[in-house]
Formats: sequence, C-alpha cells, structure tokens
Amino acid sequence: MTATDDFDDFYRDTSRRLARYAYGLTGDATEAQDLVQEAYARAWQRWRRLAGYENPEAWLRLVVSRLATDRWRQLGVRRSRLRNAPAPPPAPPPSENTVLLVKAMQTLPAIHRRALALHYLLDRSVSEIAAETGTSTGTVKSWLSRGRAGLAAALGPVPAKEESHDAR
Amino acid sequence: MPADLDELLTGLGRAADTIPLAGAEQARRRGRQRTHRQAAFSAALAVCLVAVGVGAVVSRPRHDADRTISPTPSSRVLTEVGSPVDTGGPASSVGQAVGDGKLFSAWTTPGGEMRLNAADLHTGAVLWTFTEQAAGAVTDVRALPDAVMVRVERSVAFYDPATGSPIRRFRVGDADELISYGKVMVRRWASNGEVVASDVRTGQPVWSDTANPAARLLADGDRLIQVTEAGKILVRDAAKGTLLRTITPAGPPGTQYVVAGGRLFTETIPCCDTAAYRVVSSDLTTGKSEVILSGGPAKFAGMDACGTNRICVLDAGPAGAGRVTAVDVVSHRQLWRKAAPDNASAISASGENVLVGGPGAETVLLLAADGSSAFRTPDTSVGWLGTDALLMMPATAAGSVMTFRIPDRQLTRLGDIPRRIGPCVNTADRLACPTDDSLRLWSLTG
Repeated sequence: MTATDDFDDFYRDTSRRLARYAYGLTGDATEAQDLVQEAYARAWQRWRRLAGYENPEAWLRLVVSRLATDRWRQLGVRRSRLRNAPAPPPAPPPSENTVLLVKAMQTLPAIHRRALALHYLLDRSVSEIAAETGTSTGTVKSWLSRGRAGLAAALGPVPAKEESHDAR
Repeated sequence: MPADLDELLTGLGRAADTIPLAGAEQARRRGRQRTHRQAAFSAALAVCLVAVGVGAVVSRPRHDADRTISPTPSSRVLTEVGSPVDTGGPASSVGQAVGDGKLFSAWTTPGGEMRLNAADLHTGAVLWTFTEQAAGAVTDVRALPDAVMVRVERSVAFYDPATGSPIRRFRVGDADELISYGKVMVRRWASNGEVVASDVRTGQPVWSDTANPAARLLADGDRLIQVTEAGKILVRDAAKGTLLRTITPAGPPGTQYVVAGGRLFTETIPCCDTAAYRVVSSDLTTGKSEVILSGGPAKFAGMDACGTNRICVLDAGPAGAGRVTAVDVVSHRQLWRKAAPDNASAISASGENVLVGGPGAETVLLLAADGSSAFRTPDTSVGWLGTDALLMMPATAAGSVMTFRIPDRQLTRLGDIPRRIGPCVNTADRLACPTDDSLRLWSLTG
C-alpha cells in the first residue's frame, strides 16, 4: 500500500469525526470545512512520520484546536483556502435547535467547548479527554459540568440532565 | 424550545455529519501547496505577525494617503549587507534569531535537509554552516548565551554558537514549554505539568517540581513564574529552583499573561466568554494580588504593559466597538480610554506608546502616552524599532520598507524588499528576511 492510499484510508476513516469536532468548537460549518482540510493538509506534509504515531487522530484534533482558538491562524487559513482551492459545497442550513445550541456554545470558554465536543460529539471518555488535554480527570469533569451548566444557562429553561462524569 | 440538552448535542453531531468535505485528494494538494510556495507563505505570515505583535492582515495596496499623518516620506537606499545566502531551493520553513552580534538562520530545504548557519550581523559574512537531515519544519530558533536552539517539530537541538557543532538533542511534546535562563533550560511537560530545569549543554537535571503541576511558565528576569493547574502562582529562582513566593491570585488566571514591573497581570473571566472580565495584578515580590480593572460587559481581547506602573487593555465595549483603556496599576485609576480601530484584536506597547490592530482591522493605530492618536497606517506588518520608532512593510509581498520616528513624526521610506516566505527579524540597524530562494540582510541605517 502506498503512502497516498494509506493517507486516503486514514482520511476516509477519520474525517467525519474531525468534522464533528471542528464543528463543535467553531459552530460554523464553513469554518469547520476549512479547519478539517487544513489539518489534513498539514498531516499530509508529515505523513511519513505521522503515520507512525500511536494516535494520529489526536494530533489532528490538536491542530484543529489550535487553529480554532488562534485567530491569527484562523484568518490565515481562510485566506489560504480562498486563494488556493475552490470551496466545497455549502453545508445544508442547520436546524433551529442547532443554531440555538451553537449560539449557546459560543458563550463558553474554549476549553469547555473542547471538552464538550470530545465527550458528546466524539464519545470520548473523561479519562481519554484527560489524557488528550494533559490534565486530570477531575479537571475534565469540572469542564464538562461547567460546560453543561453554561449551556443550560445560555439556552434558558432547558431541563439539562444531571450527569456524573465518571472516568470510563 | 428543545426539551433536552443531550438531544441538542446529538442534533449538533448529526448536523456536523452533513457538512460536505473536500476529500483526501484536495487535502493532499493543499499539503503540497503548503510545502512549496503559497502555503508556506501563509504559515509564515501568521508567525510573522505574531512575532511583531500587531499587524493588520489586509492584503491591499499601500496608500500613503491613508495615513492620518502623512508627511512626505524622505527616501533612502535600503542597503544590502553581505551577499544573499542561497537556501538551496524554496525553503519550506525558516526561523531566524539574533544574538551576540550574529544572525542565526535555520531552514529546511526541498530535499529534506535542515541547514543552520551563523552570519556576522555587521558584515553579513557567513561564519559557519551546519547541515543535517530533518523530518519536519523548523518551528523555533533561539540564540541563547551558550547555544543556538533549533526546534524541528518535536526535536530540539542545541548547537555551539561559535562553530555550529551539535551539542545535544532531545524530544519534546507539541505543547511542552521551554524557557531558557543562561545556562539553564526550564521545561514544562504538557502531559503531566511537571517542571524540570536542566543544564543547557549537558542536559543534567538541576532541579524539578513534580508536586505542583504547571499550566503555564513565564519568565521575569532571573525568576520563573509557574502558574499551576490549581490556580496558584509560584515564583522561583530559575537557576536554583528555590521557591521565593507562593501567591493566591485575586481571581483564577485566564489565558493571557503579561509580566512587567515585577508584577504578573492576567485576565480572569468569571464564567464564560461573554461575561465581564477583570484584570488581576499580582506583585511577584510581596505576593499582593488585586483586581485592577473590571471590564463591565465588554469582551477582553488583549493587554500589554504601557509604561511604568501602567497597563493598557484592549476590549470590545458594550456596543461591540473596540477600545483601549490605560490603567495605573498602583492607584487602579483609569488614565484614559480611547477608541480602537474597527475589528482590532491585538495590542502591543513599547514604552508608553501603544499599537492596536490585528487581523481584520482596517488600520494599525499608534496611541501616544496620553492616549492621543499619533499615527495610523494601512501597512500590513507593523512592529517596533526600538521604543521610539515603527518599522513597516507589506506582510510578505514585495514592497517598501518604511520607518516612522515617533518623537518628530518623521516618515522615511528606506527602499524596497522582495517577496518573503517567512518572518523577518530586525535589530535597530539590521533587517533579515527569508525570500524565495535566499536569506537576505539589509541595513536600516543606510
């Protein structure tokens, strides 16, 4: 199998999850498209090494996290796409509920959004999130709890479920 | 109104699944472009702009008439120093640093080599060159007192600044922090927050702290500031590791830090991105910590020390308009508050002068010590040239290099430089830039 085949398989297997993650962080479909492509472009640049990583998908998420929170780079990415490549087809319009949730997520600190995206959109356990973010499980539980509370507050009278975030 | 938060989150995931993606082939093409010209250009742009502090990332022609103060620029010749250094093809990454009268440049060639050289900053003469195989991009170059540090992705190496001979190398994590203090390098392991100081040349551990996982490290002269995951501030003698003080800050540390005048400033946001922020000042010697500014409903964007006992804070006010507020950190008195350019997102100060701009901002604005507008420029890359002058040039496109002397408001056109593929570095009298196929050095003083 060539490096290209290998990379394409990796893209096929992981890009949907990365799009979920990027969308969770940014709440913007176009931006998520951009971030995903930029992350994979960077992955292809160093594919020979990255392919040997224990968890190359976590590396992609790190790139997306940095791009999403770094406004300098974020703008650079957008300009780069505009110059270099045709935009992919637009995403279908989000539902009213998604719009509400996205607006609510924008009120949260970036680290809470990241934890929520990993836990609820990628189904990562608390311990997995702790490992990926280099922090303790207690901190992750706090992020998730405060993130949900922040969402509930921003959304108004939504009966958010009480949930315990046990390390899985 | 939806009935359940979990349903909403599930719906968000489903919505994400409908986002069309461009595919692997286009990602590979984009990767190749990055590796070659245009994308390397974009990556370098971000680094370049961060390096200079602020710059309006607006690709448009220069119009001197846009300047609010537009004296007729006097012209001088931008004199090249020494000969261009051939990079062996378009460099895919470049880093440069200045130290002890030398310019150290590290770059990766299209063939996968990392080359490091040292040039005399005065004459431009290349003193030595070292070449080795490298996997990845140069991401950091630092001129330390006893070594040149080059980081290529996750590999950090030290070289003898006199000869270029390798001293030692080690692996780091993507998010690890490295701060150098003379002969000692302090490292924060992002994986567990452990802080370890080691001898730069030998790698021998000097001291370590495994009991207080750190979220961030900062330097203040010979002191190391550890912001712990628990929200404490530890102040240490960086060389010996001696704990000098433990501070409980008046608010949990946020994400931006400024160390100035023996104080650590950080913003703290009580609950969420849109909540009122506060700026907390912690005296690193006495341990006194207090809130010096409450931002009301404004959104915090950045801050910098703007003179003795002064901090300038950029935020977006209640109506969304940017503003800069200068605060006396001793009396907590607001000294002045001025409007920032639309969409300003970055602030940088030198002495009591303040630059405000950033990506998306139409202009970069210079505010004087009293908050008055001293200069406004559409230039794409604006940085400090000492405390009393600005250095301006296009972000990476070919174009004119200009200086603006603040005391007498003298605008000087130095000359033209070609397109650049990475960030430039400068001293008071030298400008070094990587261009398409070479490294160039110019005199800023004629």
